[in-house]
Amino acid sequence: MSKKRGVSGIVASVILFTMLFTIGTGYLIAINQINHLYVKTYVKSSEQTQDQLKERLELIAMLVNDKLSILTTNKGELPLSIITIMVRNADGVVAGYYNASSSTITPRLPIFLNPLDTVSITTDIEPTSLQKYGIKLLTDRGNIFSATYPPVKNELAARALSSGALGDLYLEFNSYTYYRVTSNTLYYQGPAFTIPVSFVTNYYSAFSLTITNLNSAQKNIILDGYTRIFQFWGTDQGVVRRATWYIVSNQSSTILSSYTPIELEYDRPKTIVFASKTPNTFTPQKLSGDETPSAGTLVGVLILTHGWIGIPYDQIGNTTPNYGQNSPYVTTLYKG
Amino acid sequence: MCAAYVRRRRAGLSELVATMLTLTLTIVAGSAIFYYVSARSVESASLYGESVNDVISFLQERATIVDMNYTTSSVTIWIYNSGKVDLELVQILIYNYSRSMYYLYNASHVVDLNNPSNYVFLDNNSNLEKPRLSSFKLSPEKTATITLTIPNGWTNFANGRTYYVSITAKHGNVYTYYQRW
Repeated sequence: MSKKRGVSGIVASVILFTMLFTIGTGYLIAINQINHLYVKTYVKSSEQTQDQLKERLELIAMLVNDKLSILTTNKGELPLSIITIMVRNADGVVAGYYNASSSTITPRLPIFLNPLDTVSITTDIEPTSLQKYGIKLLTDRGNIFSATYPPVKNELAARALSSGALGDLYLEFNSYTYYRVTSNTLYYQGPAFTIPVSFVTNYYSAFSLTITNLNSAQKNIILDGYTRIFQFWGTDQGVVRRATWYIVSNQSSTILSSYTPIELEYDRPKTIVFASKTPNTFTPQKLSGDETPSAGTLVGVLILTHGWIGIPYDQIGNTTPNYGQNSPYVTTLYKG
Repeated sequence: MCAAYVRRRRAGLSELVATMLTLTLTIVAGSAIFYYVSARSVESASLYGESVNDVISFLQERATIVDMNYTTSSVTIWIYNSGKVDLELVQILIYNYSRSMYYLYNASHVVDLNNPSNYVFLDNNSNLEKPRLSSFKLSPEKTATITLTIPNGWTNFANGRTYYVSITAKHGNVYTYYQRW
């Protein structure tokens, strides 16, 4: 009798424990799964919020070939996607609404931008001289970035001054570089602030620099084939000498045989190459005779630009050049 | 001996019956308690799950009001769903800074909150909400517009003024935006 009671007690305990364990474990598993889902969603939501806060897009509204354009730079830490653009005029009327199905905007939306990438978005809106616009860009993370056209005057002035612009052009002094030219290929030599005299007499040479159009009215500038880099110096006899390298068209390190006018869009840095002895057609330049500075000569370097301003690229053939600028740039020391 | 034998047999039977009864009672009671506790735990977990699910939906619901476009008697609101779930709207408030204009649009009515007895019932033919909030559903990463028209005789929008819009979504998020006409 006492043995049977003991067994039934153990059996009862086991059954009771099993029941409690079954219910308790099931409950705990269910709660745990729910909590896991909650934490996962909360973390994702927090990450989404952080990503949204990290988005930073810099917009500059301008005219390119009479069309309202938006120069957009991703200044944030993350890639982003522009999905919608809305333009409204000063009266509050929507002048343009662009999304993935709009074909009148270049490039088509959505536009993906990696950090520090820049894209120029051209709309089909042609502003009249007095018309003002508000522009909004919507990203896929839900951020809205806005700009106005035309930009506020003091904003333009501040940007030009802080950039070191001379007239319409900002010249990046430290981009001044020289090259050896063999056939029609450029071979990088280094910064052009000091060059051996033997280099320019023994080899065909070329120069490059990076310039940015900061025209206060944000007009485009197109450079014709007379644009050149101009080096000058004086001799001991008081005679002024000079050497010239004309602008050339290039594809990477290859110089093209004939020059095609180069367009400088507002606030878009462009590296231009000077390599030709003659305008418009590439003729390699090797200095000789009076063109050669003697060792120890510090020459002044001017950038002489010429061409068109505020003219659509496809109309320059019918338009007389209306732009020219002489910009003091740097100096080069020719050493022995 | 005989009487004693009979007594022993009876005593044995009653013990067996008693044991059976006790066992039955124990099993029945135990099962009842098991199923009751089990049902309660399932209910509790289910309620907790629903509650957490609501919070998850709240976290996944995000929207951006991109722009507003006015006419004298209507406003078009551009909404972008930047969340992970469909965006459904419960109500929209339109008001000015002083709230002298203060209108509520929901699935069934347009109400002047400064004078709640002044309301318009939205029947199937009503054009005061386009589309109707009851049928508005915006998928993630999509943009849509809602046009709200002010009922006849109510104060209209005035050019040069700033108006606010406050949108309440299904899972409890509220998005507020303002824009000058």
